[in-house]
Amino acid sequence: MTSPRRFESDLPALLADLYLAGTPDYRDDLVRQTSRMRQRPAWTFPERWIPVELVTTRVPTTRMPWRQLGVLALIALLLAAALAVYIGTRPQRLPPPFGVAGNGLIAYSSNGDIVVAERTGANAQQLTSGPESDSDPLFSPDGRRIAFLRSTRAPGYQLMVVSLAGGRPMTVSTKPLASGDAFEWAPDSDWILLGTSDKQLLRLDAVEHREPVIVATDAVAFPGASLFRPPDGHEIMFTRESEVRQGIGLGIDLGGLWVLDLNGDGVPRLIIDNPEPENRDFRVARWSPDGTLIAFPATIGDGELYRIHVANSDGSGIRRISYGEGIWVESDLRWTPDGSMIAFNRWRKDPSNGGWSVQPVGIIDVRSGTTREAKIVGSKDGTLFDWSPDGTAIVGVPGALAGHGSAATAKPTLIDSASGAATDFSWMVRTQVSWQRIAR
Amino acid sequence: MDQRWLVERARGGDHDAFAELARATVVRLDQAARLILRDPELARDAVQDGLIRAWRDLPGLRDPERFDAWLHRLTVNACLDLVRRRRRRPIEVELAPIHHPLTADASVVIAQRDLIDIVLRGLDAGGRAIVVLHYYLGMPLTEVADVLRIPVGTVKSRLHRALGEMRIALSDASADTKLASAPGGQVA
Repeated sequence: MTSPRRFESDLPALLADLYLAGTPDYRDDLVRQTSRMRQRPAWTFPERWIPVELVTTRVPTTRMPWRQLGVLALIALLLAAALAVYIGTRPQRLPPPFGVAGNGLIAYSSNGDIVVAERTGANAQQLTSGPESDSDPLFSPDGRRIAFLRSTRAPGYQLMVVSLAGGRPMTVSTKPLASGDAFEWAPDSDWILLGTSDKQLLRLDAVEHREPVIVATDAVAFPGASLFRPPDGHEIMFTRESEVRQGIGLGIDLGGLWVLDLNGDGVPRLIIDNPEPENRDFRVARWSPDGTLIAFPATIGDGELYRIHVANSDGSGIRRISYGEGIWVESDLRWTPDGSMIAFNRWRKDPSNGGWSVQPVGIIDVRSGTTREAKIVGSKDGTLFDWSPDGTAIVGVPGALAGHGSAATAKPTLIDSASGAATDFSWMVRTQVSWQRIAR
Repeated sequence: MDQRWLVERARGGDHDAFAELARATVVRLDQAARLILRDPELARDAVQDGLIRAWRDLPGLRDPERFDAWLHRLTVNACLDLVRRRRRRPIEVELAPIHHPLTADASVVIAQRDLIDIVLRGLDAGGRAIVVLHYYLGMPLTEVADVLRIPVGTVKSRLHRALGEMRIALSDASADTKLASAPGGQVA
């Protein structure tokens, strides 16, 4: 056996010898790309000039004289009254931002453009065009707009919003998004919460061009988590990786679960910690549709089991709801709109050879813990899926389509929740589809 | 050309100076990212993310002498961000089991380079990052802790564990290759 000292002294050379790829072929292109970018002004880095490190950035607030505040409040009241009259005369009703709603159109990415169509594929309408590649559509809760990612020749992605009524898409991001940055519509459908790779949560206005507002720092939002707490979305939750720990078997860094009151003092509070030997994966934590519970995968002592747990909205009452024999990893949770069930991806370990195999999407009754299966759409990466707004079906695409910039395509599959019957849509998509919520 | 001078120039907006710095470091960053991510395409994305951020945020670098460590931090964090943000699947990390012995009738002699490749795969991304930062990029453990923003004690314990796993795997694999390389490919 190689002596420890010899092994460690040889390791640098062995590592250097592993990849002798030479000069990367993207080097010159990368230099050209940066030449077209601006640097951040030095004055925007306070740590450059003052000897302390800023840990958080508070959302700026201003104080106004009471008289002006009163005048503004009066104007707001008059506007609200006028708006109430206006809305009251309109025949169209909007769906609630959470919970059960009617099934509207389906948005998807086809040939680099965003398209909406009826569930049958009829009346397809292309909303974007051009040489850019548009993907990852996401309907606003009111069903009137679609947020999506646009890839251009420059590195990174732009976050765009297009109205269902037509018109030119609007760019809402002010700097390129990295692959994997998560975004979610606010319940009022007027802004988007963006989680960036440098651990900031940003408020991006979806109606007008405005500078982003930092909502939280040292905050991680992962595609797959729900951020806004129903029913009003005044609180958001996220995980933090300040205390870096390795999630056993998954190679992830686990932090606690934090909640921030958007109408409060801007200071997040820790509601569920993640001490050793616990391994709670809050990256994919999801609020129940009524905001009273939080679901998340967690281990139960053995690092190779990640089973579904729920907790009360204040972090108390953590309990496991998924049981059954075998070694499982359960993840990618999705509550039904009525909050009675959770669908999830799962993998089972084969004890004979230690290999993992993807299993059919599971659907668990939250109250009884009874689990049944839905057809996998399948690949070893599981399924990208979500419930229809009315909760009667799951629509999914193979997990291989995950990640911005995936070149794979597939036909979405619709799985009837009650019967398990599966039917494929008639069109090919490149990313997960989004189903419009409409008033019932 | 003096690196400190280049960093100061680049920090002031001189892109030619930044291009010089990027050309001098991109090979090493690419190799480090490949060692951590085990995927050349992901490594390219991570190096791109890191260098783009470096150019953009360079005015915020207080001490030009810290440029290398600062750039390594950006790149390694970009690597770990990619790992975190990809959809995690257990079979992605169900790597070649470290203690799984090679079959005795294997006729191919596995070079030590391939052994290291195999045992590196047995580590998770965080463990590989620590090994790469310390042994490939030559960072002292205090600096590794600073880059990864974890306590030095945690770095030491993880490194100790990673090296132990690598040594055992190398030892197992080396013993089996001796069997495989016996004359006639048969166990003596």
